[in-house]
Amino acid sequence: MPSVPVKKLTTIFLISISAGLVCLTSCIKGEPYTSSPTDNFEALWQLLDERYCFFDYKRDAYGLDWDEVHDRYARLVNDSLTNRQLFDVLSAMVNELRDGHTNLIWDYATSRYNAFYTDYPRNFDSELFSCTLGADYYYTSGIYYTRLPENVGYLYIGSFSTSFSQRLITEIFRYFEPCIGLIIDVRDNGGGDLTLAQDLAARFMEKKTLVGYIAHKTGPAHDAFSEPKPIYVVPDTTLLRWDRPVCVLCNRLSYSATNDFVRNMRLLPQVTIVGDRTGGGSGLPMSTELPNGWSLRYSSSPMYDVDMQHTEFGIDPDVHADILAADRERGIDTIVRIATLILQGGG
Amino acid sequence: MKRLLLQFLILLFVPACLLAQEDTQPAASAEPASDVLKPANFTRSGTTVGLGLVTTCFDSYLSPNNYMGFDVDILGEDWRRSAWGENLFRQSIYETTVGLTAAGSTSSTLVLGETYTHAFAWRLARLGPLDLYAGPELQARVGALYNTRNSNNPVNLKLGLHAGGMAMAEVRYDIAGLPARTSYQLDLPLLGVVFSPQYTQSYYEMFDLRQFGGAVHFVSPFNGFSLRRILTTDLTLRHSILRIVLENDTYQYRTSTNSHALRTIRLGVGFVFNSYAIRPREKAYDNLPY
Repeated sequence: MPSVPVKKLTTIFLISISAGLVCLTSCIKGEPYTSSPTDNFEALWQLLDERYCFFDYKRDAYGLDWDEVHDRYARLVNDSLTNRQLFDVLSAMVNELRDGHTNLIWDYATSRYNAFYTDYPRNFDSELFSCTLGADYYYTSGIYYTRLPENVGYLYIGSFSTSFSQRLITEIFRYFEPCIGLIIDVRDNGGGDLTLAQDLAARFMEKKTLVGYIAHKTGPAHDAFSEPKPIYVVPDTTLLRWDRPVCVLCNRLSYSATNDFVRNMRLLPQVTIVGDRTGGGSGLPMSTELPNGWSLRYSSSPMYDVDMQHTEFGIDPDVHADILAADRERGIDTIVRIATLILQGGG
Repeated sequence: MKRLLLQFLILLFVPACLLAQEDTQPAASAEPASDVLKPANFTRSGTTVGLGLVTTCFDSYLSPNNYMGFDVDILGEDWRRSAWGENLFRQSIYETTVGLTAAGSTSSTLVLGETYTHAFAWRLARLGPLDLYAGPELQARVGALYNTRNSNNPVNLKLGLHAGGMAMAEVRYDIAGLPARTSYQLDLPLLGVVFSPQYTQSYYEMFDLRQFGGAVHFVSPFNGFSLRRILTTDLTLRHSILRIVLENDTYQYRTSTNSHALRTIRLGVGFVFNSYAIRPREKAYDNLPY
């Protein structure tokens, strides 16, 4: 045995055990469950107040005053509200942010802000889409593609949520080899996988390209942000690259990852953006929860363009075009027609 | 996965192994019974399967709410005398847990964790049947919390490396003439580093853009507290040694912007396997007197 005083060591041993037990009292814990409408209203307001990333930008853009929003909606909430009534009030408050990425999710309903496209011409029509595709077209993985009679490739991507492979893009490029140019139609594409959209944009880039910046909130203050970090799109040089003229068609429902795709593509000299302004949605969303278990999705990380400007409210096209009523009656998609003309050199 | 399979296999084969070593089994005692066997070669290995109550599962990166639920774990311990001294022991504890927790009735979080602790235990005192041990330890934690409902932040990886100390009181006694032992152990990690995203730092930013800035944090008693208490009883049942473990694990820390806490109480049952390393043949021959 070691030659140390046994009593002293035993005392130290017992003190260390006791100290460990005392420390247990200062525990970290989450919020307990509560269904109280007022508690959940306050929790929702505070979660957004501390975590939402566009308060300062939207204050300047349209005068958003989040404190005033609290006072206005607090008058509508009391503990006698039913769940549906509470959901309606809270959804209306969330929609004050004018953000399609910010949703309140109850088991039986999801709030959506959709004025970013319902207040504008749709500029996409499924019947005209069918007319554009004609009878001979290919479809796979959510992608439609065909060669238009004007010898222009037409590629429609309705979502970035459905994954497609780079091999597919290579095969489509080969199919479009005789074409003078390519139309990428991302109208009504509400977004999806940001990485998928960036990988597609990379197929048109010759070299590593700075496309924007991203920051995230570092604390509850409205202006607490990390230093913006650059976002680069890096092409795989072993893959087939499309270097002929491209028109990207967009409308107000080109949102989120699609907005990001348009932001990246417009940096390229051979690309023309045609159609309406995109829907925006440049805040990367995250999720959290209210004390009653309802889920909240909110924009948490602002993404900027290369000039450090927000694209939260969309990106203007190079060539603005709406579908004309006269063209619609003749089964012609005006935006596709204009893009075709641009690619033919007559734009 | 390999470790998990190994632990299952150990658990399955322990009774058979114990039956096979009937004559030299030192039962629940930490000391080898035979003088022929060198104490330095002695290893006590115990594995238990437990069911636990997760009283707190909280990660502010995923949700501000407190989750509660259940978990199952496999807890393994290797205790062996160190070659560096008669009163110095080495202890390895590995623990694999899988749990499911819920908040309210609408969402759930899956808890996965692997904890490995390596300690050097110095026998401070021997007071009759009571032995007191204490020493430094290193603890590594790997795991994840998966919130089934979150969209872009469904997972928070839990990676941590901590240094601290352990203390253990062990008492040996007989029940109906059969040896038994009970120990009460504290694992107290004090200093360490953990991986934790900043306030709303996204996994897209960290793993797609490779921008990990601010995701590694230093943990000390000022911003974190972890304590694992393990009450272990080994009972000799004829040819095998039954182990019953009651464990209380608390692991929590605050970073500058996020907080994490996981607290569990578990009851586990398993078996103990005592073994002796056999020296390589040539070395054994070297020690022969002729």
